[in-house]
Formats: sequence, structure tokens, C-alpha cells
Amino acid sequence: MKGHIKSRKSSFRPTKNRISLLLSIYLMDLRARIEAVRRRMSADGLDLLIAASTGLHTLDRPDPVAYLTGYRSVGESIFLLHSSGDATLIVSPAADAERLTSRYNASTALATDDIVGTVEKILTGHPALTIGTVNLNSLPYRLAEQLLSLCAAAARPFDEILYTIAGRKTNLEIERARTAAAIAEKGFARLLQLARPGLRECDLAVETNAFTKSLGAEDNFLMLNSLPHSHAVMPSSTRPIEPGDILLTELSPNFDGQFSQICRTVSIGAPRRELQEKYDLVVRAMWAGIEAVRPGVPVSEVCRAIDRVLESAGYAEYCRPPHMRRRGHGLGSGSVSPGDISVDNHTILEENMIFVVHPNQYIPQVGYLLCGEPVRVTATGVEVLSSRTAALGVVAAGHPGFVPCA
Amino acid sequence: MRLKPVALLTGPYDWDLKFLPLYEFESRLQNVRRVLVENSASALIVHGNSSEYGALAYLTNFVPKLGPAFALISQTGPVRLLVSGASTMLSAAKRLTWVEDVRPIGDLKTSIGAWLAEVCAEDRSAIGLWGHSKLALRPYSAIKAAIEPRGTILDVSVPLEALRLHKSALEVELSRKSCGILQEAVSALTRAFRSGSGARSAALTAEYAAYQSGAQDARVFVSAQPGGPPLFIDYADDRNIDPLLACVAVRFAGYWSEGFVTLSDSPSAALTHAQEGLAATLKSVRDGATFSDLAAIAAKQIQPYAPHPLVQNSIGNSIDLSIEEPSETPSAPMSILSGGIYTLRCGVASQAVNTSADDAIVSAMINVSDEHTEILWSALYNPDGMPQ
Repeated sequence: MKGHIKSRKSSFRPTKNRISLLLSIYLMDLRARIEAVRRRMSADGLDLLIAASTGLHTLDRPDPVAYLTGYRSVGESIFLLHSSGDATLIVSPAADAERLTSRYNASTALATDDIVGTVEKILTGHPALTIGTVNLNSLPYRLAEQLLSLCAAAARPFDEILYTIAGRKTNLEIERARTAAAIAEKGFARLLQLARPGLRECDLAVETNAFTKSLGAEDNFLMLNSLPHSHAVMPSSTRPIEPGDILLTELSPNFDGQFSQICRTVSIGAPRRELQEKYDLVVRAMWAGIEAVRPGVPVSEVCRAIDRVLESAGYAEYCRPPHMRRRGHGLGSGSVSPGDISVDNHTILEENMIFVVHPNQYIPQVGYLLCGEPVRVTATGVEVLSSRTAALGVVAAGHPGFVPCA
Repeated sequence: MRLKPVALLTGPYDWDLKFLPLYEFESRLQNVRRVLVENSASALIVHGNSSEYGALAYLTNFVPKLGPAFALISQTGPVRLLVSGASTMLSAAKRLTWVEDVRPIGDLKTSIGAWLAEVCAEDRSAIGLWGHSKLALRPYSAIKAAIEPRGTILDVSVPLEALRLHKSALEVELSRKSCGILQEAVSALTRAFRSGSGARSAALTAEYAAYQSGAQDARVFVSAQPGGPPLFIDYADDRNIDPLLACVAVRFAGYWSEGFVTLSDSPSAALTHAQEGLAATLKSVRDGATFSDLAAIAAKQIQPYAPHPLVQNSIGNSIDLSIEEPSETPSAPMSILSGGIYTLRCGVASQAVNTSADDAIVSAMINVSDEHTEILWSALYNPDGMPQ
């Protein structure tokens, strides 16, 4: 490991005092984030920003409402930010009112089943506003069209700009990402205990999910599939795990709104020597990517560092679609900056950006292999948020319930 | 009850013909095609995503996990399914459906345009659209751009949703099984509550019990304060809460069931009134009864309590492959129909200001036929103190 790589030092769960302190800092961070957005609105001549959320919070899709308010709605929600600093959070459904009251107090906030009517009332009397919109394309089209009709012709997309204003995570988001990474690792340890031939993929996924929830995860984007030779990692099916399979999993718990992710591969049965060799190669590629992470480096360089290792091993044609799309991605659920770790992403890495580095590579001799770690860009390099980094897992003879091939 | 979308569905979603044989889908497809003819539609595009996929699953069994999916239905040819995800992930998608022609969405406008060129010989065709209540603006714009050069979009939701309201014998049986799992989950919740578990732990215990009993999905919302409304759990805090109001939703083979319960270690006048209100409502269920009628019966029965704000405008709804069927609105009153499966709720709120500690909500799942109303599940308590 190079000198600029830090391993994580956080405790599994922060103390109450620490959470309280971080919460205060978080609110200050959110205010600073909003101030930065307001400055850009002013520079662009915008009177009002309309940010929208669908209520779906997942690891690689941004949510501007969560990003600007810290609040994750059950249904669709809108955050109206005036250039004056006045702001209103409108969430649905109305049944979410009590949760809204207890979780959010930074501006006027309303829970309603009529988002359009509520926005219309607020905008009445301000017909000439110049409006920027974020994420309206993701809303159900009727809702989006009604909102756009309220803006007349004055609305213009602000999506590309918003996350570049402040792509860094706040201190509390970083703390949550560390906790989520710790939960992911414990989840993987549990998965290794449970995995066995005969168990259906979906049952293993459900058990692992339930375990990570018991550790405090709110949700988990958990991909898990097991085949002798996979071409991708996929959502779990009802197929029973079999001896000779290579089990792939992406464990991505969400702790208090912040996702983290680890990617792992498990041999069901003693691994062939070739599998171990190819896995070691993919892990080397991952570390080459992680070692490239530092402030000022374009994202594309992280991807290229991974590609170089695999290309030099003779797998250049498998470093392109459909075998490979991205070498990692940002981690929501607010901003997903710096975006996909791909050769066409020229975003410059900044301190406190968080993302996962995962080569996740198809190798023709053994199939798709997964390894990946969540990282934070530090002032001088990179911090790996997981404490035990990827190694080929093995579920083999001696494991409870293991049945060897006939 | 509106559920929060999850990041990724993980339960057993593969098409299992022992629960839903091919003939069931063939029958549905035949009925849908008849409605298309009646409405002069040349073809149909059916949308679904991980939040709302009732129409899509009704025709294909496909439940989208990674993004939107579209079933493309022509008048005579095979069904085509366009799904999110890379081409290398198609093997997982194909397990979810009986449809053989499963393809990646690719560029949606191009994919739909190519299909329309294959199936619609005539210009100016009307192309039906269904399942689009949660269709996002971006894919809708792509569909519109693909259709409008050669025809128009026709919203066929109303006549096609009507097909779903009348359940087949097979659907009723699946709903019964779903309600059996609901009971397992509620029993687990009740046991956890009685043994002193915190609200979060009790909810997780109930979800786990549902999965152990065969659920595809299980969601439990619980009070965050004594007597508070059931809320999405987005916190690690695990306090004991009494009274605990809970909404438990489980899905089996695509079919949702939903149950509201109120748990307390102390005698609760609110709960007694809510149960009496629900019992009176259940006695009044019949073909043609409007939800307004039933709400009025409940409101009279629960006095001096007021209807709980969470359910006063949604005393019930049809429930099947969608948990969130349209509720009654003043402009579109809905009725109970023979052949339907419904969830009915009764909630009471204390008239006192600023207190929810004396609130309660209960519910029941019913199957309505011409002869009688079958209670599939209810929160009216049995002698063992468990909802039945």
C-alpha cells in the first residue's frame, strides 16, 4: 500500500455525543451548501430553484432534495429555494407529516398529497420568476408537466451545475459512510457463514439484508448471484447455489441516508488455481485504481490505472462494454459526485468526495469477478473506508451444509 | 398505505408457474386485447418500475428491479419486454417472466419506433398506454417522440384497470396465502412487542417472519412515539413505544396484503372503538357499497372519537398486484364490487389537543362475492389476544 493511502479508524457506531456534535456541524454544512448554490443562482440570474425527488434513494442516483435538506421523503418531494434564501420543503404523502416535523426544521416544511397545488400557491404572485429546475425529468411525467406549466417558459435545467457546486460530502455524511462500510463488512462475514449449496440466492440475499438492517442499516442495495461462469453481477434469483459456483455480491447498506459499498467474490468449493490467479489480478487492478486517487486527479485517471493492469495481462478487449461499463461510482443518496469511474469522466477529484472503486471485470477463463472498496479523497491521498479489503472468499468442505460435487 | 421505494428488491420474484400458470396470463392477454379493439387501439405499451408495476406484472409477471420496463403488446404477435440493465444481465431478467422476447431497453425511442414499424401497418394508429402513473418524464418523452410521427397516445387505464378489479379464483387463492403470511408477520410483531422489544426491533422481527413464511417483500411501518401514526423507519433508535400503531404489508407471488394493528399493554378505549368501527364497517360491506357509505358508518360507530387523519380520506381500496390503488376522491367515488379484494381500515383519534397517545388504527382484508364477504384477515382480536 502506498504512503498516501489511509486505512479507516472509525468505531463501528459513533457515540451519542459525537452524533450530536456531527449533527450540528451537518446543519452548518448544509447551510454552507445552500449558500454556495444561492451564489451560483445569483450569478446565473435565477430567482428560484425547484429541486425534485422521486422518493427512491439508491446508491448511484442523485437526490437533490436530500442533498439540499438532508430529508429523504417517502413519496415525491420538492424543495423550493429562492435567491433571497427563503426556502420551502414540500413532501408527499400527507401521512409523512409527523416524520417531517421530527426530522426537519431548517425551513418551512409541508407534507401534502397535492404537491402541484401547494407549489402553485407558493408561486402565486411571482409570475415573472426566472426558475432553475433539478431532477424534474425523474418525476412521474404528469407531475413534472404540471410543475413545468407553473414555471411557464422561464424554467431552465440546473442539474449539471448543482452537484459541481459542492460535490464533497459533509463530515456527518463521511461518518455515516464509514458506519455503512462497517455494516457491509459485517454483512459479508454473515453471508460467508450462511452461504451453502442448496440455499437459494434470494434467501441468502434476504438473510444478509435482514442482518444488515439489524445492525442499523435503513436499506441495502444488495446484488447477489451465483453461477459457475457469470457475465455480470445481477439481482438475486431463486436459483439454488451449487458446488463449483462463483458467488458475486455487491453489499451496499444505507446508514441514515448515506450508502457505502463493498464488492466481493466467493468460490463455492475449493477454488481452482486459475480462479485464484485471476482474482489476484483483479485485486491488483483495484489497488492500482485506489492508489491513483488523490485531489486534483481526473476521475478518468483512476479508471485508466485499473485498465492498464488488466490490459497488460491481455484483457484489453474486456475493458470495454458490454463486458465493462464503469470502474466504480459515487455513493448517494444526495450527491453521487464524482459520478461514474470511467474514462470519459473528467471530473477533478476533491477532498471528501466518496466513491467506490471496483474493477468488476469479466475474465473469459473464469467469468465475472467482483472486488471493490469505498474510498474517501483526503487532503493528500485516499482513505479506504473498509477495514478488510477484498480477498477471494471460499465456502468449501468443512463448511456447515457443504455438499461436494458428485 | 404508500410505501417507500427500496433500493433493490431481493425476495423470490422468478416466475413460478405452480402459482401463476401460463393459461392465467393468456386469459388476461386475451381480455386486454379485446379492450384494445373496443377502444380502437392498434397496440399497447405497458410501463412498470420498482415502485409501481401492477399492470406490467398482471400481463407478464415481470417485476422491474433495476429501472423501468415496458411490455409491448400487439394485437396478434408475441409480447416483447424491454428491460433496464445491461445485455449481460438478461438471464436474470428472463427468469422473472413467461415472455420469451426480452431485450434491453437501449435507446427507448428507437426501440419503440422499431417495434411500431413491425406491428402497426397503418399510419395514424392509436397506441394504448397503461401503467403510467409513475412513468417518468424522460421515458414518457421518448415514447411520445416514437409514437407521434405515426399515431397518437391513448390512455387506456380506465378500461384496463377495470379488468384487474375482478379477481380470478387463482388470484383469490394467492391473496389468501398472502394474508396467511400477513398473519405470521403480525403475530411475530405482537410477540416481539409483548416481550419488550423496541419498536424498530419488533418491526424487523415481523419483516423477517414474513420472509421466512415465503413473502417476496415485507414492509413494516411503526409509531415513532406512543400512539403516533405508523411511519417509515429511517432511524437506528429502538425505543419501546406503547401504544404501538403498525402497518404491515407483505407480498406473495405478486399479491399484496396489508394490515393495520394497534398494540398496547394497557386497556385502550381507542382500540375498542376502532375495532367496533371496523366490525360495523365489515357488516355493511356489500356489492355497490361506496367507501363514503362505509366511512360514515365507521364515523358514527367510533364517537366520541374522530376519524384518524391517516385513514379518514382512505378508508379502503382495492388491493392486488398494487398496494396503492387509487383511493376515493370527491370527484370519483369508488364502490365495493363483487369479485374484488379490498383492504378496509378504521382509525380513531382523540379529540384532545396535541395528544396521540389515545389513537388507534385497525384494518381487515376482504374478498367480496355475490354470496358473502370472506374475511381474509382482520385485526379484530381472537381470545389469545392475536389479530385474526
